[in-house]
Amino acid sequence: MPISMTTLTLLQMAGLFCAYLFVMVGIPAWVFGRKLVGHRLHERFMIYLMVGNFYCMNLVLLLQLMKLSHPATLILGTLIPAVWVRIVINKIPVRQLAEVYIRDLRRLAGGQLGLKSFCYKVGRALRRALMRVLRRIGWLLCHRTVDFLLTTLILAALCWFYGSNILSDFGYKASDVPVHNYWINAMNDNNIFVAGVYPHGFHCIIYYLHGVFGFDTYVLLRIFAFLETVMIHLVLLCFMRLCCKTRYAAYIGMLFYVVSDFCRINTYQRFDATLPQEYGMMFILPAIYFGFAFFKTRREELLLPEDSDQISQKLKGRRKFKGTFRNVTGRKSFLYLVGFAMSFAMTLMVHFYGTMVAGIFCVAMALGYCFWFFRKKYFWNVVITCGISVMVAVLPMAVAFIGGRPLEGSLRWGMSIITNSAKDAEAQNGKIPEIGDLDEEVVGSGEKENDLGAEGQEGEFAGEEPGTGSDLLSEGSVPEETEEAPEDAPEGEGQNGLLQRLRNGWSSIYFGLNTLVLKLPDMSMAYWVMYSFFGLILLGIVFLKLRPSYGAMLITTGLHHLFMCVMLAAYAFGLPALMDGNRTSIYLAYTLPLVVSFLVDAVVSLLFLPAKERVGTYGGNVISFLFVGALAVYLWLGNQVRATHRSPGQEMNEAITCLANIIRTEKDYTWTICSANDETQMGFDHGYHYEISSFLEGMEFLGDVNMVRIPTQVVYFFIEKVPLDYYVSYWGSGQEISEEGASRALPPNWGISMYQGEKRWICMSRMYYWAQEFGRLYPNEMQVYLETDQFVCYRVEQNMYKLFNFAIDYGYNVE
Amino acid sequence: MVSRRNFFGILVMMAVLLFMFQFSSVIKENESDYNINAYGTDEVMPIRRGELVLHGDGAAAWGDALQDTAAEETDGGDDFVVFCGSAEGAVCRVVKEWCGYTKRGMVVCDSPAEYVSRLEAGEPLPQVLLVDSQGVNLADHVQALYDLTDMGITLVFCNLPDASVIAGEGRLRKLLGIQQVLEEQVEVEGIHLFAGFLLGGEARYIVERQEDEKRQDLELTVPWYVTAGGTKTYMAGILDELLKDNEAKNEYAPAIVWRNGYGDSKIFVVNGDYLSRVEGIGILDGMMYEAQSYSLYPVVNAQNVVVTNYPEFAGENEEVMRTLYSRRTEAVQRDICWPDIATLVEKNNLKLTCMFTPQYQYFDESEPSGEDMVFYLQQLREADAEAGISLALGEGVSLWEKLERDEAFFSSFAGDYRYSTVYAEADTLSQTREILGDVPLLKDVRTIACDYEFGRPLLSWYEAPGTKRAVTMQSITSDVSTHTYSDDFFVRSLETALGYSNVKIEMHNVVWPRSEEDRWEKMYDNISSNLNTFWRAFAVFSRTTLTESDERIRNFLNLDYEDEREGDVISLRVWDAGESWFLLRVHGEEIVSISGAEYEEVESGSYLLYVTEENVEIGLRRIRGQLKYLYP
Repeated sequence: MPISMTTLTLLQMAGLFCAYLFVMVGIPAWVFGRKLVGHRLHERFMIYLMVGNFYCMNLVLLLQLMKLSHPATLILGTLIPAVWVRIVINKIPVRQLAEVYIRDLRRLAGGQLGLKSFCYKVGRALRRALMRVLRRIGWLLCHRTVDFLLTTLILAALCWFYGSNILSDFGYKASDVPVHNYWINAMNDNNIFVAGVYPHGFHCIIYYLHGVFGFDTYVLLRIFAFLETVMIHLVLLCFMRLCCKTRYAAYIGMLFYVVSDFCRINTYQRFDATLPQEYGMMFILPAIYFGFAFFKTRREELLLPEDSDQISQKLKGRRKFKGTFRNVTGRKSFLYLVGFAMSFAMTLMVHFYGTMVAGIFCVAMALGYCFWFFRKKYFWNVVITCGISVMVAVLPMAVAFIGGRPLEGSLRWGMSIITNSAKDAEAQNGKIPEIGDLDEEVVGSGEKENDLGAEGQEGEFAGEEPGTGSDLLSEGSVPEETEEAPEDAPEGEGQNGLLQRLRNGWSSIYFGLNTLVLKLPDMSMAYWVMYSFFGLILLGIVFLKLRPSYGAMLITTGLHHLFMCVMLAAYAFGLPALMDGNRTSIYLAYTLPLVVSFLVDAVVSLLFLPAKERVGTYGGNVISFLFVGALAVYLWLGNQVRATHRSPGQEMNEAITCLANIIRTEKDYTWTICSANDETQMGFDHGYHYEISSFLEGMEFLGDVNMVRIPTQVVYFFIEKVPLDYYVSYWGSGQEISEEGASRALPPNWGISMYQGEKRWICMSRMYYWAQEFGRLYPNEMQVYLETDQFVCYRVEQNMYKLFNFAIDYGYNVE
Repeated sequence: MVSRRNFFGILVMMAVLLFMFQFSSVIKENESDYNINAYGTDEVMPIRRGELVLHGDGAAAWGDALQDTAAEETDGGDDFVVFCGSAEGAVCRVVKEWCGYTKRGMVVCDSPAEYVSRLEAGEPLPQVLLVDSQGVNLADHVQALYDLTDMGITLVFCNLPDASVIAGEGRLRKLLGIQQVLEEQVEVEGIHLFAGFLLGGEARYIVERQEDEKRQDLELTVPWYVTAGGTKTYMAGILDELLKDNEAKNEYAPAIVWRNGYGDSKIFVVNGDYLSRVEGIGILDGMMYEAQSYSLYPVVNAQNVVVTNYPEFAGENEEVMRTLYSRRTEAVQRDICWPDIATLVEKNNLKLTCMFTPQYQYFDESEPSGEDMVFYLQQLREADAEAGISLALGEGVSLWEKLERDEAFFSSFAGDYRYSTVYAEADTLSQTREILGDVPLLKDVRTIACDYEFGRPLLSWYEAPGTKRAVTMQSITSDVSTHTYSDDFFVRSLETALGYSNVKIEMHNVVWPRSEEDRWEKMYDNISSNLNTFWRAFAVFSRTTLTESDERIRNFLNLDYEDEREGDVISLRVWDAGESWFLLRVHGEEIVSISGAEYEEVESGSYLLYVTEENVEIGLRRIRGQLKYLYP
């Protein structure tokens, strides 16, 4: 019975969530659950998530590099170590258990145990396990009802804001997704790094899900964005819940980030597309949390006198190294170091922008925790962990690089951005760049990025809001405040003076926040945001004496945001722009909820500091909950709730529908799709693709030698009656195909440009009239597969022994 | 010691067993009405449609009847075709025969230009216009042909002029869909018939194994035409060896039957003389199917197996039989041949018609003995088979003499059996027709099976002099013991056009072997494998005896019909029909509902309809390209 595409997408999403959570959270929980009993739920969730991701990424990388990757090896590589590790770390008496099971089976085989009794026994064991899980869930629901409700509301909001887009637009939402699709498809042939050395962590995860669970890669790339978004937000929530002293302060940040309309669309619109950069965001905050936790735990460990004694005794022992190692691994702080290493490594394994942000956070952490960090008992632990994590992330890439693989284009582009920025900064040593100069640079880098995007690197994003981000900056529409800001500068400073640089930087930050990050009711409120960073640092300093770990954390967060602001306006400070403004704004917006939540949390905690612990906790929770309510009411009444946005897919829904149907109904490798989309990669495991550009070019000139043959039994033609604007609009955007379009000269076949703007209209017009003529010649062989007002798909069935020559005179070829 | 009681018990048990085993046989023998022909009836359906082109007036021979009635037959409706070319030519005969079977009218004109002027004068558009290039100089009529295509008329080029003419005529080449003339003559390795054109699926007529060599009898020298865009090829030459280095070797293979599209018109081209032979009727039906969204036409639905000259009752050639089989002739036929034949019947679900012959040599010492007559009639009865009389003449005997001697024999043994079928050799057919009403032995004969000869319709009838009863003639379509590629093509064509085959197993050669190949075991192997292989695709058609088939032919010739399609529903109205069958062929669709008929699938997209009511409605649904996920 046919179902709608929306239903199919929903089912696919449900399946994907189950599969992902099973592997990334479920299996680690099964393996390490008993060991982490004392840890908080949010912390355990983060640990499981990091372990799951880290293991899968490295498993795929290892198997790929050994050319052994296959669904079977992936499954075995997941299950066998999981079982083994569980047995080892939980000291499960396998032999005794096996004996019991074998005895039961023998009894069953011998007839001493009836089948009914055996089933009952097994069923009882399963029922007990299930009841344990249900009791645990029940306990959580009972004791964390408000938490549960608020989390559910946040998830519902995520479904509403991000999930609806996946259900309404089926196509890829960013221009570089097809390239990622290509890289992932190449992994089917154990050909990782097919286009050069690149952080493949994200691709490993997609490939893993494809290989193990059988999801088509194109389906994953369509819907994984939502899962990715949910996980990013859950990690953010967990991070804040773990860091805040009051229970509900985290939800204030979540409301700010998810529900409020305070952030510009460019800071979250990329969540609609399945992209590595966004997936990499998931690992930044866990790395930071594990860092915080390490300092806190390590300090507690060092405060215990026996701990230091034990170490010194062991150091004196003969088995010095081994003893030290055992001692280190036995500590609780070691767990956090491992967590930090895994998370930080994954930021680098997935996307190096994530690493940059995590790195900045780490620098801030080094400063925030400087009074511990530079001590010997912390310093080397942290430095070695950082080194190992970088090494783990870089090692597969280094192996491939040494093996002769060149660097992938976008890595070179990323490096060129950094080096060029540094050079520009040096070149402008005698001149502090004006905001206009800054804008040009930002736009310039964006253009470069887009060029590369066409080749499959960091590409454009569908439906990017015009007038935001770097575009707006390039227009030079500097708000009045920025003009005023320099007026406040003290006179007598030289143009190259530090003060002037700082002042200019301050203005640029303000400007950047307003144009790239925030959309506050009053633009001047951006100053308050900037002040809040300092506020956090001040509160941190206050807390340093009372709660040193908490205070250091506040200082770290404040410093991190200051650094991010500096990066946002790096040019104004005469620094190299490591990341363009658009990208920086995404990361900055992602961590802004920390500021909001931490401020509330710190202030409330400070208020209840003199109170007894129980009163303080209870009071803090109540006040924080009131804050959540107040913010919710404000957002609702103040009409500050974010509206749902739409990121149009860069492929028509009809085309995706046809593709899904074709894959479902046709035998693999018996069909070809002739279209202006990327079915080459989307239908990789199932069929073939033929470019419309080559198709039309093949019959452009009429003559005896013309032959356009497509060697599959069935050929589908995707024709857009209202051609979509593939990232490029033109004067007639939205117009229907027409004879006028068909009569235009066929655009030269120069890559993707043939499918953009007016050229797409010409191609589609020609294809349409070709199809009409072909349908006249072959009425029985060509049928309409799907037709709407915007789109039509034709199906042609041919004899494999005598293929059709599709090169016909359709009235617009050249004589 | 066995006690009396036990002895008595054993005795009773043995008696019961004896009774049980023998009883059934005795009953079967005594109660068998073997001497009654289960298929013979007193009433024979008359054939009413004498006015059709195909059918003669009784007095004329079948072949002559065709020529005499080469008149124009149009009813002003759509169902007529125009033939441009020689009315005396072989192609014209085939087209006429096809028109007769498909109930189409036919107009014969000299040239396309002539018909264009007639169209301009207001004559209705034909369904299809067929051009015989042997009778029309195509180069002179290119413009007229273009004019016809502009009117949307489907053209069929029944053959082509010399390749040099084609090569020199660019416009004609374009019309025919020929991109290049690569060679004027090329020797192909075989012929490839693609699936979907004729029933029976794909066939590669090429020598791939040693045993295929004796099968290859197709014309392999053809002009080498490469078809252009907009064409669809149904049959092509195989040039695998010559083109082995060419990636697009299939695309360059010489086209033999193809279609070109020109505007709304379809142009079918036959590169060869396939339409000069009766298999052309299947090709024409295939073309009509390809030219339309569906094709619906009546078929006979009969598959006959005729065992000729079997059994022979005189025990002739005994010396040779003893040498070859160590048995008497009668024993060879009864104990060696019959069990094999019976197995063949059971395995292939066949229905036999055995043509009895008392003897071959009438002037030797052997005289027929009827002692096995009952056995054969009983066996035939059990096998749902039928007995007929073979009129094949032995050496030095006339038909009259044979009939006189045979009549005495048949009246002496199982004299009540009514023989309704006879087998006649082609050269005695006309003689047979003449005497059929005058010989008491043949008074019940209603159908004649005869070896096929070109020029005579495959299925026909005449009114027997004296009795004024219609007698049908069913041509033997092939000898199943030697099935060549042209035989196979012939069978496919006839199955497509008529759902009919009438194959012969010639047993005369078993008793009078000419070579090693005539040994029964070899012959049986060939027969068995051929029937098993080449008729498997047509299993859906009914297996019949000649008398059953005769009944169906009478209905087939009598009926008339009309059909039309509206959306996904095809309406069919049939009249003057008793039991009738139709073949429905659709493109990428399947039957979802039907009223007034029952259907069976022959192959994908082809259905055999058994019409039970005058009005039939068939609902169709697209099968290929169905959406599983809907949008919006």
